Amino acid sequence: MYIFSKYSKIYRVVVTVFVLTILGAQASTLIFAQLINQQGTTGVRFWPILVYDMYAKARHEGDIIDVNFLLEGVTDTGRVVPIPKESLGLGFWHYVKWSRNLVSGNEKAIVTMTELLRDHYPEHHFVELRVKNYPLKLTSKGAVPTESVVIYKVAVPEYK
Amino acid sequence: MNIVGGWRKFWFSDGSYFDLAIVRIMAVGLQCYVLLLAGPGAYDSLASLPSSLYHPIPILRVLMFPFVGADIVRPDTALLVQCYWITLLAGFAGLAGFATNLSLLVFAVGNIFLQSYSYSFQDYHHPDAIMMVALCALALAPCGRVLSMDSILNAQRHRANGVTVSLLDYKGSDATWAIKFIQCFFSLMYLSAVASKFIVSGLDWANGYTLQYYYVQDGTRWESSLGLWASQHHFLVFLSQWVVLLFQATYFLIIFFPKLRWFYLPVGLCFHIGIYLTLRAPFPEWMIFYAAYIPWTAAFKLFSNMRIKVPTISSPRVS
Repeated sequence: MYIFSKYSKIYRVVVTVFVLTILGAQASTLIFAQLINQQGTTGVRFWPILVYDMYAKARHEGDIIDVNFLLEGVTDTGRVVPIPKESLGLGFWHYVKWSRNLVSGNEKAIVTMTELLRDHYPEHHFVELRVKNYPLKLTSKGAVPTESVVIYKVAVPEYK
Repeated sequence: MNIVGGWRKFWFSDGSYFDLAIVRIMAVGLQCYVLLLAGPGAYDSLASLPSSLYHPIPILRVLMFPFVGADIVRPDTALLVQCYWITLLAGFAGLAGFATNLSLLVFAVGNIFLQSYSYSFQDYHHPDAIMMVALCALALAPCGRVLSMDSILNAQRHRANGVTVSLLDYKGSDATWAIKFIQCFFSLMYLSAVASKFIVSGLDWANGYTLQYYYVQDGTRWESSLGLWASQHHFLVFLSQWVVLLFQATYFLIIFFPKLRWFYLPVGLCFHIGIYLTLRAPFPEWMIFYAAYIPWTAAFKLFSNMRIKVPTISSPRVS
């Protein structure tokens, strides 16, 4: 520990480099946050240097509240099967983020969907997956129930 | 004063080792608790996730590079569990102040490895980044100089030729920077939070509906009746959104005017406790690092020198 005292000049240089690197990287997120957001690379890429954009999106009266998405599978016979999030073996946040990626058309999320359906619904012959919104709407007096409608459909590749 | 002189004065002026040790104990103690709470079983549930969800983040790749090269391999659960126990052991050693800097270095790297692995499944959260960064700073700082096994062992070693100094008066020029670093990093986090709101939404963010929305969203997800209650009061929420913006945008002033901490710290604590009670979003790391702003040495001196009036004893007690 007392090595710090013996080599104080070198120590101060090391500390200075450390401080400048970390604080500089974190400060740069203030300048480049716009760029990072636009490129869709916001997130964990540079963790533990982060853009602290939690709860940053403005919301308005009438917005449907994204508590989580509801899923339904359509079989090759046309039968509609509800797919509860618990049945997919994902934790809450993994489910929320995967389903959000799915709705945004992310190709990797479609691959994950195929894997999940293969692992957890092997006996079903799903041809389509439907994503429905959570049935809550925002008003100035809080949330009111609303209809849950299909907001996204995706064809399910053969996974047997 | 030139830039180098100013830099030296800011980062390397005399500071108390006691303050630094308190921050070490609180930070490492919390992180050990977080690790114990998660348990080694957390890696079993991650192992069961589909491989298509796994996209190792750069820092995980860097840490794994010496072992697997550029391959995107998924570390097996046994390795993660071993790493978990080594990290926890290092944490307890760091907490006790045994081989403090080495222990904290292992603890920091272990935590970064484990956390970056769990964040490689397209899910991450904001609270723990400051802990990782602060652990690295503490591993570099002389935070085991007092309140540690190292200090006891060192005192025994130098019993014959050492000088004695009061614990609270033990100061050094290398004791300040880590605390100031955490303070500055904290300010940048809040600035990032307010900048993100302006970049993503502009002033429209503070329209009242935004926070109402999040109260309903998280209140429903985590069954927070307080969050759902708060979501019904538009004007109150509107006002609190402006308070949040002002708080986050001006928090950095605490660096230049330390007395402001007596305003910002209680407000910040209420702010994070409120977030937890309504949105069920825990930020324990952020709350614990408020400790970096407290002048512990001065507070202990104040209390130890405080004189109180006691009632006069009419007849002396006989034991």
